[in-house]
Amino acid sequence: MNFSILFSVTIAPVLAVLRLVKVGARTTGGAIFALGVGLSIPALSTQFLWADQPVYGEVAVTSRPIQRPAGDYVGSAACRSCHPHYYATWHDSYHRTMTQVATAESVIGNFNNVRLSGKDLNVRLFRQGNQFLVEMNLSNPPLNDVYPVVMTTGSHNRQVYWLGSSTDSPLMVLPYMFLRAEQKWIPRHSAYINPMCLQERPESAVLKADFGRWSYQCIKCHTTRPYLAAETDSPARPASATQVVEFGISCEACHGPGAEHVRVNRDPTRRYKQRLAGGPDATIVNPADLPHDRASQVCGQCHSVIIHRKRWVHNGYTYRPGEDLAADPNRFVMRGRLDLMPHNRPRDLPHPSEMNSFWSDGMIRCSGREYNGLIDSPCFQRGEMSCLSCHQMHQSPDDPRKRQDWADDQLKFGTDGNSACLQCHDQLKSVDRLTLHTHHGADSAGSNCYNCHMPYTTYGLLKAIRSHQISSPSVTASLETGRPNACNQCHQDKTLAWTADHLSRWYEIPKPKLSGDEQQIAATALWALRGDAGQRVLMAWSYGWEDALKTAGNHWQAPYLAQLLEDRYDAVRFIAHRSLRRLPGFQDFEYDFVGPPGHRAAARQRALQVWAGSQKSLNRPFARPVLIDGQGHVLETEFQRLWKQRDDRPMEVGE
Amino acid sequence: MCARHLQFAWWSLLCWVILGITLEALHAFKIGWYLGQTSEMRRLLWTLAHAHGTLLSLVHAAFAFTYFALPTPVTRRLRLTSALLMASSVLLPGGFFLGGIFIFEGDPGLGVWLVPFGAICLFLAVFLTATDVARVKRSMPANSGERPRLTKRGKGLRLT
Repeated sequence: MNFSILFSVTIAPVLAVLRLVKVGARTTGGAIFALGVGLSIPALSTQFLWADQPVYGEVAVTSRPIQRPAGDYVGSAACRSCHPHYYATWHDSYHRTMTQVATAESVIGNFNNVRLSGKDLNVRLFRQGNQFLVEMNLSNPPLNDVYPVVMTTGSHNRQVYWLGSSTDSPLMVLPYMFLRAEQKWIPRHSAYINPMCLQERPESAVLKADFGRWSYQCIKCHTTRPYLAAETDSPARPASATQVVEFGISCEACHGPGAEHVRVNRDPTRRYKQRLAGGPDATIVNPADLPHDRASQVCGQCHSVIIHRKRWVHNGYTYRPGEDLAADPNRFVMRGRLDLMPHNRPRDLPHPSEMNSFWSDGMIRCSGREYNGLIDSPCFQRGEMSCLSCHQMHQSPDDPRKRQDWADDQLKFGTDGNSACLQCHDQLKSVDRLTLHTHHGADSAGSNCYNCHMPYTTYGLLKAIRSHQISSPSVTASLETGRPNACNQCHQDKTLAWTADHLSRWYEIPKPKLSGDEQQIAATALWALRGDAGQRVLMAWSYGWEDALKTAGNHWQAPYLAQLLEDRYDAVRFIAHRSLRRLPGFQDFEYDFVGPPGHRAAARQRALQVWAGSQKSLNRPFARPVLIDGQGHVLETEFQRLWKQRDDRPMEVGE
Repeated sequence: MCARHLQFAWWSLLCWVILGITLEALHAFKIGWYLGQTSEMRRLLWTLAHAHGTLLSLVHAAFAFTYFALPTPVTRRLRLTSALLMASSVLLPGGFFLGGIFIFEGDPGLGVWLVPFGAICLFLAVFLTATDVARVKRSMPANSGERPRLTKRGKGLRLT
């Protein structure tokens, strides 16, 4: 149809000119024939060669899940020619590389004949040409085989590797992961606050627990439009029977299926009409054009605590960007308290307190679930705040930052400071008003909106992460939930009583009743020594937080971090060591966080000796609440009393 | 007619050489407006403008030498062919150039709509020239070795 119109429009002036110069019928016929051939080549190519997206050659792959455009999904390659900038910024984002086929470009781990030894598993990582291989020796049950690495998960902070096999079985996880910043392999079970690291044979436990995990768990959010094996109804080839439109989180994960959009926009006149009109294109979803709640749901489809209904296995996801996520029958967004959830919620849901994802007051405590925090925030509930208020999924062309700097958090330029909040709270643009509100110097960390209203109380990726639930510091909440409050997380040497007093004087917040320890001992010391693993890991991170070290000094945290080098949880020890190295005198402090318990005790003693030596040269005073006397001696009795009170219940933070 | 096309050829070539130098300078000084990731379309269009403009300048020279070698009387048809070639030399590279000034992401600016009209003009000009040359060739004696001269006698052209 389009070709006929194009041909008619083109042939008219040609005929007019030929008639004008009175050429013969044969010549006219030749001209029309030549013009027809010239126009046919591109027109036919467009209609038949490129009209449908090519099916990737992965249908022949059997060792892993495959990528294949299906249904109304066309894949990101179809977006590139019309949206080169958006494509490029997505391509450079960590969303794209969340799941990748293992290649020399995608694998960041060291496979140069590296040998790793666990409690019951020995591993050799090596390369053969472009293939990455893993030789595994497990003692019980006996296992000795070489597996190819077929896929990777992650690339920003760390990378996990999935192993294929020749027996068409589901993917097996490599029980080690590679940390990008540290350029180091660590056991997979050590990377989480999870009781698995307390087991006698953790590597076997990981192998067993994560066998086939990719195809039923990771696939949900680390790919675009997944089709489980049950949905594809393929013959019994468990690995490759699982299909996705695209590995990683690509264009259609946020913009919805694009087949219709691609089809109608092959017509250039439609494109120009659309561009000149300037409005949204009805054939595709742009989250930036959605109301704030629907826009946030686009992110929330993955960045929330979700219970997947069993029917998903057969029906796939029915939610599409722009729709109401709460109406999706195949997944349910969990909330932190029963009273926050609708009455008609599914009956078989677990209680939020069993989910290991929430503080006891319902606030989210694990990373990657920011939507839960957002929707419980007053700025979302009473205002227009959405994920896109601070984040942008495509770096703006006029953003002066390097692409990798933007990709780190995908924050809009400038929103790493107060300007994010000042979009609405513009009365605080005035320095006088800001200092009146914060009671801190305008250029100090205490006047940074984030530090008070989005403190580091969520955990994941071996670090503390800012809470995405906008809240105000509260001693009562700290007492009731055990969650560190923003004041004490920065003023680490102060007690809860000190904080309660200031909040009372500045904001007329009633003082809660406090115990003797809470009145006399620094709140961070209590959380670090007698808290649960979730609190201890946050304190291990906070003791290395630059803003806090400027406020509370950096000369007294070492004994606490030294104590945490002996923690039961691998992740706590890892983070304590990292924070310790940020303190003066500890830059070169060596410690194997997965070493035997005896080595940990020795490392603690070594750290205390280093600290004692550095105190002599620094000669700085100590506040009584940090359990160090005026001469720089740790109040060991008090210290050990609190350490013995620590909450050692098995703990899991469901990041 | 030949002189007019030769003159156009060289002056237009000069213009496109200047554009070429400008584009090289934009590369040399790493001008973001031209080299930035969002300017991919602009780079493509201006490269196309430069290439089409330069080549069409040479086509004008070839056109002039063709009709110098095969002299024909200045008929209405030849004037039309000349005008079409002139128009295509303005519309084609000009359309690409204008389309590159203000770009939409993934699509050229509105100026690019001149390009198809330029392409039709070029098609007609080349087609009419080709048929002219073919007709002259048919009426030339084989291996005469002489430069043919054409006169208008009645309808059509005759070799004398």
